Amino acid sequence: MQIHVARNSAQLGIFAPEEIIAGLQSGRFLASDLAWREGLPAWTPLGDWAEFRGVGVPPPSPSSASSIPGSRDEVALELPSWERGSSFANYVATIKEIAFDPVRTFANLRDGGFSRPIAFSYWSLLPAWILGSLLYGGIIFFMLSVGQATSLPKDPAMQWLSGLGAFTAAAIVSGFLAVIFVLTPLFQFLGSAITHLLLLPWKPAGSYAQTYRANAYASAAFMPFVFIPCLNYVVAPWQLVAAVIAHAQVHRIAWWKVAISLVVIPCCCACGIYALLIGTVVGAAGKFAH
Amino acid sequence: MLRLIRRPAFPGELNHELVWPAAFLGGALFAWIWFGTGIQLPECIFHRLTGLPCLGCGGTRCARNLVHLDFGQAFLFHPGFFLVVMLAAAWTTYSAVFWVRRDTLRLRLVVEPAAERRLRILFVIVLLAHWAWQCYYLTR
Repeated sequence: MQIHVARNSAQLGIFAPEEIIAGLQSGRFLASDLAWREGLPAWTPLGDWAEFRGVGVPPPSPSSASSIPGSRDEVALELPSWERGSSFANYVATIKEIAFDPVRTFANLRDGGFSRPIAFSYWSLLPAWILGSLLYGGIIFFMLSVGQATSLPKDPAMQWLSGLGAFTAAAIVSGFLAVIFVLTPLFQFLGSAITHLLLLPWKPAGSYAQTYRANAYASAAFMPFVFIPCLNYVVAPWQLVAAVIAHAQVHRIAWWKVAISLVVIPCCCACGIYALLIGTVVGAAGKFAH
Repeated sequence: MLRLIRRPAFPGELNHELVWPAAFLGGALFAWIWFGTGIQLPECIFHRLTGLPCLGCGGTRCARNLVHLDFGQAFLFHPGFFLVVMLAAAWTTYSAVFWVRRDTLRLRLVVEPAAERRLRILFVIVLLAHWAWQCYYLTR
C-alpha cells in the first residue's frame, strides 16, 4: 500500500507506511502533512491516520508559536508584499522589492498557491494594456488619420488594418492586446513548465508551483514598463536578471546554473529568441549612436 | 514504470483539468489568429549559424499544418510538437468529460521512483532521435 503525501500545495511523493513512520520520527514529514491512499475519499492530515497516531514530532509549544506558518511574526517577514494582502500599496511595494531587492524578496517567497501571483499578474497587465493601447493604437490612429498609411510596415496585417479606418484599426490593436493579456497568465503555466523542466537537471528545491510563482512575480513586476518607449530596452534584460535571481533563490541553485537553463539553452533550442532580442537592442543602440 | 491513477485533488493543488485545457485552447486561438495575419517568425539564429535545425525548428510549420488539419505533414515537420498537441487535445477532451460528469476523482500520472532514471535516459535518447529526424527532414 502506497501513500501520497502533500504539503503546502505541492506533492512530496509516494511512500510506503514504513517510510512515513521513519519520516515522522526524523521530522521529514509533519503531522499536518496531507496524505491519501487508494480507496480514501479525501486527503487527511497524517496526524489523523490511526496507524501514524502518536508517531513523530510533538506539537509546537506556545513559546515557539511565532515560527508557525501564518503566525503574526512570520507574516510580517513574508515577501513579496503582495503575499500579505491585495492593495495598491502592496502592489507598488512588490514591484520595488522585485526590481531593487530581488535576492531578499525571492529568498522569502514561501510555498503557496497560484491565486496570488495570478492576481498580481492581472494587476500588472492592466497598466501594460492601457499603455500598449495608447502607444500602438495611438500610432496607428495618428498615421491613418493624417493619411500616412504608406509609412506603416508592409506586412499583411498592417495592410489589412490600414483598410479599416483609423478608429477601427486602433480599437482592433487594443482588443488584440487585451486578448493576449487575458491569456498571459495561462501561457505562464506553460512557460513555467518549460522552465521547471530546464531546471530539473540541477535538482530544484521547490516544486512546479514555486517555479510558477517565481516566474509570475518576476515577469509581472516589470510588465507595466514594457510599453514605455526606451524604458523597454532597460526592462527586458532587467526582467531576465530578476528571473534568474528568483529561480536561484527559490530553488537554491547557483545563479550560473539557472542562467544556463533560462538563457543558454533557450538560445540554442528556441530559435535564438534571446539572441535575437539582444541583437536587436545592440543593433538599435548602434544605429542610435551613429 | 508509469501508472495512471484516479485520486481527489489536495488543497491548493493546481487545477490541471482547468488550466491546461484553457492554455491549449488559448494557444490554439492565438495560433489561428497569428497564422491569419500572415506574420512570419524571424529566421532561426541556430540554423543560420550552423546550417542545422535547432530543436524547435519545424514547430511553426507543424502548427501551421495542424491549423489546416494536414496531420500527416504536421507530424513530419515536428513529431514532438505534434505529439504534445495531440496529448493536449486528449487531455482537453478528458477534462471536458470530467467537468460534465462533475467527477471528484482526477486522473494523475504516477512515476515509480525506481523508474525515474530510466525515463530520463529514455527522454534524452528520444530527444537525440528527434533531432536526427529534424536534421534529415528539414535539410532535404
